[in-house]
Amino acid sequence: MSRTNNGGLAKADELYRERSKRARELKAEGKRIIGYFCCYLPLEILTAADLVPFRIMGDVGEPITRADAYLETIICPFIRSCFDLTLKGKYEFLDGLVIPNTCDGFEYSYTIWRYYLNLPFYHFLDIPHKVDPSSHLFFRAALKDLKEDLEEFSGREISEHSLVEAIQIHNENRDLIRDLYELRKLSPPLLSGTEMIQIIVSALSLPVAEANELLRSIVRGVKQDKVLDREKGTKKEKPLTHPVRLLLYGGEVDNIAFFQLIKDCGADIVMDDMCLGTRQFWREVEISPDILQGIASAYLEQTMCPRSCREEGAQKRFEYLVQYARDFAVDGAILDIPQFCDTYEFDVPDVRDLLQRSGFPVLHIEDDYSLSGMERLRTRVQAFVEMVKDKS
Amino acid sequence: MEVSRQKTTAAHTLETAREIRLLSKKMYASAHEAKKQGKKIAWTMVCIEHSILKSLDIVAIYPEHWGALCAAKKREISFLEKAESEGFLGTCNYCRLTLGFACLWQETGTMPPDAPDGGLPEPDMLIANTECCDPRYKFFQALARYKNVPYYFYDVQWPPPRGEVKSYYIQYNIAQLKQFIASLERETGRKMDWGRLEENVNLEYETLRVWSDVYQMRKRIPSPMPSEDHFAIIVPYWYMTYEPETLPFYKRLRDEVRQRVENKRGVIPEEKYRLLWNSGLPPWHNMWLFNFLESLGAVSVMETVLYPGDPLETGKADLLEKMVWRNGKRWHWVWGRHTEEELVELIKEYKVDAVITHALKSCRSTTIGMIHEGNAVRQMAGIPTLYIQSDMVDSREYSEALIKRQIEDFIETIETYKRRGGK
Repeated sequence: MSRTNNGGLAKADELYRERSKRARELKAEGKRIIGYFCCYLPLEILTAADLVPFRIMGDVGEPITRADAYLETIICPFIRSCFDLTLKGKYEFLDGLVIPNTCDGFEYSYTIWRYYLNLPFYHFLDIPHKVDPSSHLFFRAALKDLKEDLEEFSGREISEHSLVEAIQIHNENRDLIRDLYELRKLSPPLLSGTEMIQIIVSALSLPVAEANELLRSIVRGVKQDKVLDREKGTKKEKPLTHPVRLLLYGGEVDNIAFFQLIKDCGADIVMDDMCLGTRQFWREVEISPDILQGIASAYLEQTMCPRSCREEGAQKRFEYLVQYARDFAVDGAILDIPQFCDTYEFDVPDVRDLLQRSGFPVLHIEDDYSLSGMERLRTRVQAFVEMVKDKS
Repeated sequence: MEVSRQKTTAAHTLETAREIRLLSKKMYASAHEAKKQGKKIAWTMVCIEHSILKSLDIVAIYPEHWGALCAAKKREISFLEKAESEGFLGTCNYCRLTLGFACLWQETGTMPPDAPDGGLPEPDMLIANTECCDPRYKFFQALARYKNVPYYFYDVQWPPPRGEVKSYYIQYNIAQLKQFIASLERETGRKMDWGRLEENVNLEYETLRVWSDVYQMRKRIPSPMPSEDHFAIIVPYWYMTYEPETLPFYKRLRDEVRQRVENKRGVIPEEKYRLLWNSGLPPWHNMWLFNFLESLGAVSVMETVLYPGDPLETGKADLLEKMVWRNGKRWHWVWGRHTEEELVELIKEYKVDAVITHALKSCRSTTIGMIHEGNAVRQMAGIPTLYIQSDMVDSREYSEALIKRQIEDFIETIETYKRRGGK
């Protein structure tokens, strides 16, 4: 597929490779940069405070050399990698950190982050594990605490008006990402899994207004490319390839190496349920009379993370995954389960069985958040893709 | 003292500690009998408000304790392997063991033959809360694959160490308890007897008050009670809280320890080194480890895990609010969530020469923070820390030769620190 109209994709590629570049520029201009993890932090609140949210990520290509002096090896490898990078000064541009209480890894390492990394601002955000009326109220109160802490830090009141504006711009951000996902329903998808992860990683490294501008240009460019390709298709043109279509269920998969490996094996990730994917963006915040409650409820209800313990049985809890798989006409699914992650591990058999019963072959792999196991993974993915092709 | 190479269970110092095996056998026998009598059985874990279950005549049985029992009896491997074959890989081994057990039970239709103490009686419900760790609430959700019974759980939110306990934490935790009680009322067809609940809460408080007297006496030199006995005598408080023998048990324990203090009877003839067991659950499959330490003159005199902390007088009139505050303090203590300063204070109070931590392959909530705490203890208290690694249930993770060697080397380190007066 030609990419002649896609300066946006080229920009995303550039940002992906140097994702802290814009944050450093903004810092030099006097903006304050707040690092965060996970999908539960309402970015609207940071944006409304005129702070720049910056999603912290690790680096699968960087061996962990410093973190082991402070953090145990049986902790989530993503958290270890992030901590290692901060110890090495890769995030020295941050003015603060918001750590969510999403899992034991973050809950029990919070005091360690605080102890060893001297940042002007820290906030630990408690998040209910249940999703019921009292949980909604609790989360609203926790967000009010966060808001007040940010106001004190920034020296700026977060008004209702600024929150409304922030909700609107973040809703637009999520709409734009969903527009890009729609393009992956086509066969072959107009955006590869590699391209999609580059776009998402770069978008999460920019202030939301700049991210939206980038996303709009990518959407325009990809759609224009599609028109051009169709026109070319009437002339001599090699057939478009149709990779095996896969759904990715997992945690923090943020490096193109994984997606490229999938592609090399004749498949592509066309849909997902993961932290840097639908879990972050499949959400709409309504502007309610109680704005903060509206934000709290949207994030609590609409974030489909295993750490939220919903009361329904497995069939009902995971039926959205089956729907994703059908909507995107996937041929199979990969469960990329973070190593040492208790919340994911207990769900694996139920997710696997439900997808298989629904007719989707499943490959279950354990992700140690490093490049070292890639060749072993290649063998397994190749075998899986061949099996899926034979089946279909 | 000669220590047998083949021995894996601990030799206890206290007479009361030696009573525990009989008591725990009785616990399982009673649960099986209760099932036969048609009483409601709940599989649950520690840190639940047991008083609520007791007050609604729900008989609680604990996969956690049963996992430790399987490990002590060396019967854990078949259950763990079954769980692994089902796809439950690197998570809590208490939970994986029970999942494997439940799967085998379902597949064969009969109680697995190597299940110690008759196994666990069939549950009528599964009960959890979100306190302490993630496996606690996720595990019972996964158990629904093998046990088609209702699952009731409630959320507990508490700020991190040094965090302010704001009123919305208390309000939320109370609301969650109320919902939980309402669910159990529907399940059992009974209404909560609040007077009975208050009696049970007070009984638990009284038991803890007696227990805490013992832990004050453990500050004495020589130590009257070692850690291997602590890990035995926790059973009645956590798992048999409201049984008629529990409070008398802790009173007998207190009397025995007081007598030892008065007669200056230590654990070993010459207590050269006093250790603090920090945070990690012990290796239930190899508790002789503590006797090995004692053979080298080292006694583990105190622990920061599975002791609920001294009883908290909340000054609150509302029963649920009282329970929430006490639970918050208990949670802070029972899972080793001490601040660096609290650890140093404990080290001073118990006159500790060194700290030993047991990092667990399958338990993140007790293990994360051990390295940091070791760093802090060295820096702030000037004493060394030994970091050993295995698992609380899975004996495949335990290397006897390695751990013995680490301990022997560590004893030399402690000796060096003592000669130098610290650092």
